[in-house]
Amino acid sequence: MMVIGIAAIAAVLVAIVTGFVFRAEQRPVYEAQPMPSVRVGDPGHNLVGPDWSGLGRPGGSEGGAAQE
Amino acid sequence: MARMKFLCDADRCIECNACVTACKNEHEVPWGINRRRVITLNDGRPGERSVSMACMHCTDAPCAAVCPVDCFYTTADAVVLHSKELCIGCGYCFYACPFGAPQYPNVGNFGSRGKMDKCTYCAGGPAPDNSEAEFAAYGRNRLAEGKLPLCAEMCSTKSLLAGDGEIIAQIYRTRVLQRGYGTSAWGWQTAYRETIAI
Amino acid sequence: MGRIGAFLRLGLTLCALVLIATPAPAQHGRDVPPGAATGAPSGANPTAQAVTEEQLFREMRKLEGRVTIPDSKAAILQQPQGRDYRAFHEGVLPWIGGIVVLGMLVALIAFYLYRGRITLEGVEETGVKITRFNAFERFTHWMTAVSFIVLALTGLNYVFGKRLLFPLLGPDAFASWSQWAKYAHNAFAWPFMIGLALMIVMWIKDNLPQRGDGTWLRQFGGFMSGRHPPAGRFNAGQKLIFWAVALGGLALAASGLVMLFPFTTFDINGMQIAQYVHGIAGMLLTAVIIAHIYIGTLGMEGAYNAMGTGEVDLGWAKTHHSLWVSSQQRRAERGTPLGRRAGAQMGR
Repeated sequence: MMVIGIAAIAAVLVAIVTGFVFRAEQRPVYEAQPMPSVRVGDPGHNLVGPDWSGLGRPGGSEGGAAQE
Repeated sequence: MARMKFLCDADRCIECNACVTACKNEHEVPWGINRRRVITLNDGRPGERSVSMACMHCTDAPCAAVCPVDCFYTTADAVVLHSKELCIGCGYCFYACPFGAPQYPNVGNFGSRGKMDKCTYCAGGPAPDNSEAEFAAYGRNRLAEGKLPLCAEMCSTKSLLAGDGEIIAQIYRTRVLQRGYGTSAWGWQTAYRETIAI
Repeated sequence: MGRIGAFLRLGLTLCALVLIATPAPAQHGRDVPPGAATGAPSGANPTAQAVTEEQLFREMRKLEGRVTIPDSKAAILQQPQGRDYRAFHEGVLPWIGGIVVLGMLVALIAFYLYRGRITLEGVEETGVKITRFNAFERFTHWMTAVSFIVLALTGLNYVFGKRLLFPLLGPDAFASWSQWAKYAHNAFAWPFMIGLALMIVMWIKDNLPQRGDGTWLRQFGGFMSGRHPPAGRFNAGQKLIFWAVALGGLALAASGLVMLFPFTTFDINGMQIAQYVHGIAGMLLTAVIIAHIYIGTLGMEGAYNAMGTGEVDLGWAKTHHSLWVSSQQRRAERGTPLGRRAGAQMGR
């Protein structure tokens, strides 16, 4: 009889754990199906790159490619 | 009472996507949700046609029929709307919709798609008309202000028509007669069980 | 520039005059009258080659085009199969479910009223216990069983909930219940699949068809006659249950996994087919399990102990699974390790 109780608890535990794992893995549509030019990330990381001066310093602005 | 319909004149649509942009901007639709989209058939070949497609607001809507929680309702203008409070995000409405109108915010990993969103004919939702709550969940309610959907208003070639079914059918009929050809009203047979007799 | 403009204006005026002079076509607008300003010098009118909806429907099952949206589902202009899906989900499936599930309940009630509980008469209780299922087997069975109950109830809610529960609960309560039912259905699928896999591995050997099975089935297991045809560890009826659960469960698992990760393996038509398979297999298996629950609890005295405690009376076992008991006894005589209560009991 105890086995039934243990089995029920085991079922509930597996259910809860898988639920949490998959919920954590879920992505919104724009993250799961992005277009190459779409910024998918936190504000403050722009598409162009860290250097907006346009002076073309070596290792500077042009390196800032879009985040893939 | 007007029976609201959409008609996209495929012979005029130039795939400019103004309708898409207008809709996304007006309702502040989140990224990834495509209430309206422009689909191009025979792209690059003679006889290329573009059609702007969102929800057709069908007569006897299949989405409403299959919903397990019955969250859809049809307004007096025959606009098909739904309640995001009741929606469980099961995805059945998308399987039933011939036009692919329902959109979901989450990619269905583990099947939890989130609350379904779709074209509302700019008629909002069950929340009080023009309230903050309505705008946050469903977007602008233009119909309550006596205006027609913005996509049709913004259409650059007036290919996308929205309004009372009789009126837009007449407009389309006139066009076909004058220019001499017409590829028929896309989706009308499926959505409204009628074609436009020219 | 002014001269070009003047030429253009002249050209347009001429075209307009030509158009006005041409009788307007009154028929269905595919025939372009000659002289109308369509502009193609070869005389071919590209717009006349444009596809129409009916033409596409005749040639393709789904109307698809090209979109700039990364979601490939958005490229579908129309999928008429949605109509079939609606008819299935709102018509066929509730009927199948109602007939199969209610029909099974009615059949069991009728059987109980006619035959009553199958008692221990004919069984000589010895008081000696034999282990029928060990702890791991019972654990697996019960984990699967509990999961199945949850899955069946929440699954039936998708189909019958709005017909039966919605009027009782009202929209908000019903939607909340359905939301949690959906999460529960998705979540308990995993312990069900784990338990199913374990059960198949554990018991497939004992459920392979054997010689006495045909006789057992023809005698309907002795349900009506009161005589007990010989049977191995699992009689033919139990083997049918095993295979129903194994195959039906696998069908449910496969279609369910397709639906748990929508549009990763199949397109919209594949997803609809997964719904058909899952719905029908679920309804059928629910009916089978109702019968299984009946016979294991109310239907037959002494049967519950097998899965409840794991130990059954030796006399009961000899009556219902004679071949199994004799093979167990032979193993015990050959010196296979005995159970804990040696002497009075044979272990497995």
